[in-house]
Amino acid sequence: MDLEEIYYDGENYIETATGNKVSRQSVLCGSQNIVLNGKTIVQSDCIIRGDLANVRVGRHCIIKSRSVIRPPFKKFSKGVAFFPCVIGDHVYIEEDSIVNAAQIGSYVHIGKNCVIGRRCVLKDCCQIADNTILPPETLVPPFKLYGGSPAVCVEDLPECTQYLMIDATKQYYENFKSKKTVIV
Amino acid sequence: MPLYKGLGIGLGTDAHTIVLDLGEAYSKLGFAGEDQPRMVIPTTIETIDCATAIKFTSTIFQVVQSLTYSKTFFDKVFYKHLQVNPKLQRVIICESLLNPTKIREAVATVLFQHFEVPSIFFAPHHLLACFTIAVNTALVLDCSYRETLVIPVIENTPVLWGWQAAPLGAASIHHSIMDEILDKGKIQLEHNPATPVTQRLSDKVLEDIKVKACFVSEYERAKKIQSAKWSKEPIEEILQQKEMVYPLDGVTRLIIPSSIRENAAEVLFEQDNDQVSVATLVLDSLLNCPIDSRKELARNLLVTGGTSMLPGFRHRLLFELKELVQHEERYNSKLSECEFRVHNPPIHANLVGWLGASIFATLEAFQRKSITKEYFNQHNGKLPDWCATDITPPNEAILPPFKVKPRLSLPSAGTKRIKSESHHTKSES
Amino acid sequence: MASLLQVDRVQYVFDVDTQDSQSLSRLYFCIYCLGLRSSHNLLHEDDSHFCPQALDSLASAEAVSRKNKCSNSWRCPACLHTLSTRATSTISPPTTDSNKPTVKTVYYQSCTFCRWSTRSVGIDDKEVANDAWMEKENPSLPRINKLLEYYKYLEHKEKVEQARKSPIKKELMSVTMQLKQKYTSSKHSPGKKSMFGDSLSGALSSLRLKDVSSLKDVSIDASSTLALDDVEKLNTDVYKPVQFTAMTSTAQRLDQPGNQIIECSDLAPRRSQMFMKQSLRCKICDHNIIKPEYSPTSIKFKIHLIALNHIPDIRISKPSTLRAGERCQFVLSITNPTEHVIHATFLPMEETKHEINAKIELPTCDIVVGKFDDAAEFVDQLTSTNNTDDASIIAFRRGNKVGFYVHCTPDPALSPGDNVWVGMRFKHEHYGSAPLALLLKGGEVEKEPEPNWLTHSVFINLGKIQSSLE
Repeated sequence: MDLEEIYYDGENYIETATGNKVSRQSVLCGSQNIVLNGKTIVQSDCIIRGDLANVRVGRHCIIKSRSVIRPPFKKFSKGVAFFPCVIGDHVYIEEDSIVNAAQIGSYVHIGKNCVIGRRCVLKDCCQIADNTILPPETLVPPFKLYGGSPAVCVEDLPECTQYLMIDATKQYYENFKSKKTVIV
Repeated sequence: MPLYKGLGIGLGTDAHTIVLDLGEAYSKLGFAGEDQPRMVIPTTIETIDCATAIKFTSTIFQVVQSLTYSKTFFDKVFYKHLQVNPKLQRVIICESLLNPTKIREAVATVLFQHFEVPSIFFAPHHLLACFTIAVNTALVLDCSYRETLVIPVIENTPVLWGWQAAPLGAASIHHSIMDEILDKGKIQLEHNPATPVTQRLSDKVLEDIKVKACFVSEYERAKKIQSAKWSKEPIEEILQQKEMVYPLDGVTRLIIPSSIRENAAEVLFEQDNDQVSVATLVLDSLLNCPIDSRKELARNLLVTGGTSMLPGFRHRLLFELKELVQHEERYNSKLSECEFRVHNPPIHANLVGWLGASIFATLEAFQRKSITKEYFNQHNGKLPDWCATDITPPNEAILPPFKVKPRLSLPSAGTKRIKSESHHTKSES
Repeated sequence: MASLLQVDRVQYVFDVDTQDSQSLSRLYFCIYCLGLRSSHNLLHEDDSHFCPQALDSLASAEAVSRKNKCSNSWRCPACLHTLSTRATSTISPPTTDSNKPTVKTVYYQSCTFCRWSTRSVGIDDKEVANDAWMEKENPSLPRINKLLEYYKYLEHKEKVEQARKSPIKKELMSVTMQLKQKYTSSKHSPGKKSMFGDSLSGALSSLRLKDVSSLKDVSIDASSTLALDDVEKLNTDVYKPVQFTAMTSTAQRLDQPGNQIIECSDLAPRRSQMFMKQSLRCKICDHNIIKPEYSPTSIKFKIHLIALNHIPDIRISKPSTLRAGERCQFVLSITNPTEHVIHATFLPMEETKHEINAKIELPTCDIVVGKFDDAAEFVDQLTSTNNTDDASIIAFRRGNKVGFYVHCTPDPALSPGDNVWVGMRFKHEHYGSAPLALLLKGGEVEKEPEPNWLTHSVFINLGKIQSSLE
């Protein structure tokens, strides 16, 4: 099924030169440490903690409402150190999820209401089901669907996952339209 | 993986024969010659939202639906859990003798046509169990999820006219736990006042309560519990705790009377309206057996099945047998000479059938007697069975001049006559 | 992704006989036999196994010898999550050689999910990070090995006895040969080989001497039986209060089938299970359909014949409200993944086993679908409207995707909440595979490839019936 068109209030979003659309109702702490590579949508009430460490988000990503991206930390004998959080291209993070991962590959779909624990590594083309708790330091291999608490591999994903994710994220971006432009 | 690699090992000898015991609640998966199954998994197909239980053994069975389900199930078994290529592996399936023909044919169809396994062997659970104790005459009791089935095995042959079965098993224990919770249990959400339980709990919760708390009481104590049930008189407390608190999830707690712990399993031993309990099944089965074998059978009792792993089960069973033989008229006259002894198999009771299959599958007799794909196709998807008269079982085609028969013989066409007799006896009793 | 685009709502029939159908994203296309395939009718072959935590891969033969278990990744016995190795330093008391206390690093395993650790059950810390952990062995392993040996011996003995009874020497020889082959080829189990070494040579020589008595006996004691007085009585400890958290659940017990542990204090780490990378092969023409790259982290394929790259993808583009018995309009879209312009013709569904509960009115003319163009993304897409299109049929046209109107009337008998299924067939030409197949075979590429016409049956779940009150 094709995605439906979503109209947002043009005043509530900032559109950058590279095509990023960021909601004014989101909190981007330490914005100098946050890189959005273009055509990425950050919806309302998201929190991205660039003040802790660098956050890099690839192209065509969607971060939906009330999600949190927080770089992971590691305890050492002398204190705590934060590590950068790197997210690939065509990543779709649904509502209310908390992402503490160290690395998220490309073409990854994270469901609603998930907790991605500290320093997790999500490889390319994997999916996290809704309401999943991924314990700290878990590694998710490609083409696997993880779900449950603690998350386990539930299913294999189809070999065309990459194409579907590109299709979905591009369509979402194309259908994410400002109400203002429609009136004009 | 190159094709030739598996052909040499997989078909040549015993290596990597897949051993499956598809139970009603749990399936045991592994390989021949190994000491324990690789995996024991619930017989369900799990999707993200829900788990659909598939029944390989239940009588209400929709074959069409099961075909799709069992494809998905065996997909998981072969590719996820065992990680083998089923096309190169023989399969042995441990099944109940009373498994309906339709179900085993459905399973065979899926395995042969869909997964293209080279051969399947359906082996009766009760016979396989004897391999684990190295005796060839034993009275095997299998107390599983839905029913308890007793079949005597004499000289490595299951004696079908001695079969006795009753719907006593884990399901009936779960049922009685649920009844008592509905009657006396309470649910408490955080610090709110506790409210009576109105909804049924999931089978998973009931099972958890059973394995963690329940046990089989000793005979004398059980008699008191049973009489108190009728007279409604309170009995002295033996448990040090009146109520126990079972955490349902982070915020909800279930408060249940401790008496559940000793009462739940009583359903197996208290005789119902037809005067049937797990113990009477054993004795009735003995009565159906030839007189000269009864003593030996009684000396070689083998208790299998997950439900029999409840603490105190075997002790109570032996005690019940002794008491019944001494005091019940119907047994006293014929079985008073029997001494009951129970075997100690080398593995937990729920895996006995699997281990037997694992041992048997290393033998050549297994290879000779397996049903091959060609045989299955020749007979239009029908399987030889002790109740199927029109099909001859695969014979010992590999070694024509020498018929290996006596010791390892399995039920074949020879036992079919017994079926009608067993029905006869059953209706009489 | 699958759930994002709800690809399951459009099902393509991949098996004409059984009418089994699946979403196009799960299907494959064999370019040699020009047919849709699903994982259910393809041959699975294991390529490699890999450890999900360390992501190191192993050849399948080696994985089999390790029972598909990772060598250095361990699993929590309580929640089945992967354990992490933790290092900590301890001060050991001064030894006789040196008076100073020495500091050394020790390792233990701990679960980041449920906080279980090897320390909590009293397993000693290790001085080496890996490989020092042991899985518990089945306590009755020797007995089971003895049983295996005994039954093999029994069968062997029967065979020898029968061979001796046989009057024909020729057949005797054949048995000898068979035995020889049988037991000399059983080298896959080194333990058993040594066990059988003696009895085998004994048996073969005895055949020659026609004397069975020299066969080395393997005897076994029947398992011990217990009378009422010997059977373990109910332990009076059970009368103590139950601590649900201190007892293992069924899942935890069955995780270690050989020794099913009842109390949480006895749990021990388990090796994690490996994952498998598979390649798929067509059962009819034996060509590879899917062949992944060896590396576990790679998402690339050496051979990647997924249906989505060859077959036009039909989707619901604009849903509409469905009411029982009322005609309504939908927009379906068709996407052409190939590099040739195609003409799609829609046909009504024939007799089918699949449940269909609505009538569908399909476009009566061919629909021309543009070719897939890599550069299309960067070209302004608004220009691609075609004036020749009939506006009553074509809803929109965007590169290689065309939206078209269909009308549907659900059965009047349906009640709110029921899923509405329609069925249709469509025909399109298929060019791509012939030259590609030739290229793969190393042949010459023709200039003007002849199209093959392919017909697919498709079932579409249009949605649920709305209640008429809304």
